[in-house]
Amino acid sequence: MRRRLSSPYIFVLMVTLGLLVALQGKALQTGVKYVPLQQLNDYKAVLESEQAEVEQLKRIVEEKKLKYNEIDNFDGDDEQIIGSLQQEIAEMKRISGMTDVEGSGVIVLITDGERDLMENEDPNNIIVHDVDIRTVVDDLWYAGADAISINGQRILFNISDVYCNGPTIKVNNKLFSQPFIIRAIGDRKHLEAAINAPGKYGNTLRQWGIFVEVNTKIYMKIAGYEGDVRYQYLQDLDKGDAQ
Amino acid sequence: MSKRDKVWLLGVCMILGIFLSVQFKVIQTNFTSGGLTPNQKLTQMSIELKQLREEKETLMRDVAEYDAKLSAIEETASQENVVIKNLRNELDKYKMVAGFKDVKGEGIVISIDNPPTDVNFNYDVNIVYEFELLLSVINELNAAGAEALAINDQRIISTTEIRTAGNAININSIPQAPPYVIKAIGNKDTLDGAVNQIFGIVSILRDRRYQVSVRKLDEVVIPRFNDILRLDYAETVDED
Repeated sequence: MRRRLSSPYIFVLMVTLGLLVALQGKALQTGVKYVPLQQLNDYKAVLESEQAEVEQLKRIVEEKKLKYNEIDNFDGDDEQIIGSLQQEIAEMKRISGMTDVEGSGVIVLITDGERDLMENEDPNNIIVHDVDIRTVVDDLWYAGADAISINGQRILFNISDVYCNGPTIKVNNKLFSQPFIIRAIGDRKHLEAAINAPGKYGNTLRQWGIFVEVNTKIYMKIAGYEGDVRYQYLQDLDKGDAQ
Repeated sequence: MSKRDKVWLLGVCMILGIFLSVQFKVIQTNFTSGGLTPNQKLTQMSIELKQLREEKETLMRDVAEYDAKLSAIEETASQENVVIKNLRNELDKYKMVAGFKDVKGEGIVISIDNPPTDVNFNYDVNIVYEFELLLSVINELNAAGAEALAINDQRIISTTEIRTAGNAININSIPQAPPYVIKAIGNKDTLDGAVNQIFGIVSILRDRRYQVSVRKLDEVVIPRFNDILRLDYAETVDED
């Protein structure tokens, strides 16, 4: 008699208990979730790049503040505003690579290798290609070069193209054959290391058997970009909005 | 040992065995998927990220404010003086060449991403370690007459470098992680044709299993170069 009475009670109790356990589990789950390491790494990458951007912005705000204070001090004096504008134009011309520049730096000479080929070896191994020149130039930018030219042609990363063209290389739409002479203005020691240091592309090329030589120079000149920069598709966003 | 004890021991050993195998299984799956970690750290990071983004917003507003003030002063001056007006126009022109202006125009957007991890391949393909491919893309776009370029909204200017640094590629010394979105303004058909050429750069990238998409757009907006560029070594040659 006693057993017969208790079984429905136990059934109900068990169902309630089950529901409670499930609810408890659900409530706890939000607290102790686990995430894949990959996601953590992605977050870290984003964080790093945002941090770097904030640093840059702080520098810009500092610069703008200085500039504003300077111009504000002029008190609407036309002569001084003209002077400051001319200064800014000269700076922009220098940065955009339209002027001849001078300074200290390095001269890099790159020529096809002269060693004997090994049996069945691809001759391409000891021939200089466009990608080699591009990567060496990128190494130099990375080492903080201010201005770079290849065989006298100013290289501007946002305009110039370096192309393999059979036996010659095309730089800024002008043809050059070897030897390739790259001039870079910047910190001489850094630039030299950017070619010679182990792991750098210049050093790797040398190991392939391509002739790479670096000389530092206390003074040299690099010509400005020769071509005319004319924009057909580009519109100023600020002006576009104003119209 | 009585027979009863042995039965108990058998039961305990079986339970232990099951525990062990479950534990191994869990660790194995975690390891292959890159491992799991408590989300506490992630929450912390996302808070930090939010703060950084807010800071960035304020700083950007500061920059815009100063810009507005400066141009207001110059505007009033240029209304009275034609020389100042001409100089401002010239400055705008060179700022555009140097990449210090937000610009828009027709062009293409290329996005390059790493392939999903595939158990059939033992080696990892990662665009981060093949930055030369990005250099080639930029070169190709320059050759096709691109007028303004940006990777992940970092404007490409005359001295931009593209370089692997750790687990990211530094562009304008800002670390950028994949996917890489390359924007180019220019004749969209020419640009599209140049990268999609047979055995061209897109097919090279696809051969290496990267996920590449190219879109032609009527309006691409490219932001300005957002840093101060100081050239300490290259001095302008006096023309006289």
